[in-house]
Amino acid sequence: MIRTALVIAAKDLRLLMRDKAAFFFTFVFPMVYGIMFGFMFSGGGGSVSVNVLAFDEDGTEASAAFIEALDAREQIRITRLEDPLQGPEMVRRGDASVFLLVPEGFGEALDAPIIGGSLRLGGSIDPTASMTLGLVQGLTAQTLFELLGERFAEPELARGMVQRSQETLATADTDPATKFLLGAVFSNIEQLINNAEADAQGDGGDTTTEDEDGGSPLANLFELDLQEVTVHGDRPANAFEITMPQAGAWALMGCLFGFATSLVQERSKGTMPRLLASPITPKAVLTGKATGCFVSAVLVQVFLLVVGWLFLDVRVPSILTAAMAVSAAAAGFVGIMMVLAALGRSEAGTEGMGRAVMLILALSGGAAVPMDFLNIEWLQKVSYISPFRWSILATEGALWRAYSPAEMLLPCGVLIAIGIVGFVIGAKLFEFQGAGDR
Amino acid sequence: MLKIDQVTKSFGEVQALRGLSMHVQKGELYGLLGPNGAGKSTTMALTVGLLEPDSGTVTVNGTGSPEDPAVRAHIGLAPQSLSLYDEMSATENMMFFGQIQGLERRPLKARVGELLERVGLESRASERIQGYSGGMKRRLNLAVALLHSPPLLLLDEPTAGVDPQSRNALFELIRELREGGHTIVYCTHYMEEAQRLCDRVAIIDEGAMLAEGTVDALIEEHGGHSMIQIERASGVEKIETAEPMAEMAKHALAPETLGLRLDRPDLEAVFLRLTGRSLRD
Repeated sequence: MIRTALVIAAKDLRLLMRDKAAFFFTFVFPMVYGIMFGFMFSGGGGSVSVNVLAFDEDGTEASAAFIEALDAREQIRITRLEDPLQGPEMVRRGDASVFLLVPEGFGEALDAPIIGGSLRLGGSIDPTASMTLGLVQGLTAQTLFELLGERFAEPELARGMVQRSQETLATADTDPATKFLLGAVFSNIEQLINNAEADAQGDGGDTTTEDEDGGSPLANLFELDLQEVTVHGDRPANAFEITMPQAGAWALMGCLFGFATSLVQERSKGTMPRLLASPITPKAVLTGKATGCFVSAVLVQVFLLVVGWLFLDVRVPSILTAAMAVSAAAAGFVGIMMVLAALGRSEAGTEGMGRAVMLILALSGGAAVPMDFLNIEWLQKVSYISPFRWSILATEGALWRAYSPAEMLLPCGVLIAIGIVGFVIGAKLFEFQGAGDR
Repeated sequence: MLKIDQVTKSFGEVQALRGLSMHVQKGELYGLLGPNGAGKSTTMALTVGLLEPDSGTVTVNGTGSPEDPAVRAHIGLAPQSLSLYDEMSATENMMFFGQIQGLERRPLKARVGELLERVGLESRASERIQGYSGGMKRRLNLAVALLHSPPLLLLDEPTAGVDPQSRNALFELIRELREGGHTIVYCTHYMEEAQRLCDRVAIIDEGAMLAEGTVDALIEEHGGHSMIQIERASGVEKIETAEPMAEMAKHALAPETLGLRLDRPDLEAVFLRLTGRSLRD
């Protein structure tokens, strides 16, 4: 019987590949859905906007200006916190990838660069968000230097900064050689400011000053010290981690209809009597159909996960849980396919009835709008009867939710139960109908 | 080879077969005729095990009931509806159904090539059959039924909707099969086909056997007399007679006779006489 089932499965997979509509809805549409909506949720696929948490411990005009300047950047959205302890916790929960702490003394350091201490920022980061770290580092440094640049562009402000630095230097507990060198640097900067001012007034003068090392005296001015926090696996790292499980659910629906319709076609086109007139049992025919559906459902889900993992930064932390999710979701939808195929007496009937029911289940199960966004109590309750909810949950569990195998048992168990019940009901219906065409 | 004994079968209120019995001998080409709703399809379905009789028995090749998959291996079915996958080629269709019959790939491949050549499809074997003509599909439909060399062949309307060339080719093939020792049950609406091909014919209606025998015997028993048409200037006279030659000789010499025509009874006459002339839908 296994050989026969495999022969039927291979034939059905071949037919699926040759049926342009079925192929589209099984393989192409889910991929387009996953990628398109992933880019849409990521901000249209153009500029990336990173949510950064910020707490201003310094509370000075300079620190407030810094945070405001950072927030004004297109690539960063600042969420100001009331309590610095919220930051690491929110990063841990996955609400944001980065928390910036603007420490006390920041404004003083900005007003007295070099001597006032380095511009040091603290905070926390999700260690998996390496690209985000680079982006935040770059934009933070750029913002700081722009603020400093603005101060040097205003002679009065710049002169004040130098004077405050000179005053600080005078009372600082620093060795005499360093004091002498820094004093010379500040004198030169003051001279530079005076020349620039005179130049601006048309006096000409020497405006070029070069550091003898060829390096910038501001090179070590900025330091971003972010502590890595362990993120609980309960937040997606990017939009694709939401849309690819949804794409998987749509792919399962494509498989389901492809095979349910093919089973109905076996009857309407007369191939079913020929199959049943051969020395095989009706059970073997149904097992073959179910095997074909299962294999294609697994293939398309694996395909989506591999594409997501390779190209879209979708995390697959465990092959075991991914295999559990893929197999269970495939099994569940095979069961539904069996019932649908047994109930449908024509291709049009199966398509019409099936799509009506399955679309409602898909929409209520989070295949279009993620369940976390559907904050409607009754809809959340209804979603429990949707196989889409469980298949998406199982896939998310294998991805960003990072479920343990034990945690996977609930969604996978529900899906397998749906599969078994569906297969039994479908097989009984076929038996009752006399293998579908007696 | 095929023994149907006192079989009854009902679908709800409708009694499709009422104690039907027939016995098809080995190597025989047996015609099964009947108007729409006579019970032909039900008989075919019972013979391949798609249906179970309410009472009575169906035995194939002396081995048992066709409900047993092993017994069905003795049967080749060419259904009336073209039971093929349009999106697959002729070779792919045959390889699939051959594997379903339990044949191994290597000998099956050789068998597929041989049969495709036999039905004249070898040059287009790798094309998807959705581009085939009705006749080509019919020939392939028959070839699929022959894959496992079954001793009993059930051909349900094997020439429906085909051109004269394909029909002729099918007749040739069916004759060859009979000469090769196959037992064939030939279900058709075309009386001339049954008359031309079949060794024996059964006419059934309303689920019961009306008549069974060789074509000649059936004509003799149920065909009635020959009809002579005498054409004169005053009109055409029709005379039914048991002695057509003598009657024709008598009228041939009469000066007012312009022409004569003899209509001998045929299977169609037998069929209409037994099943009536009322329309069946």
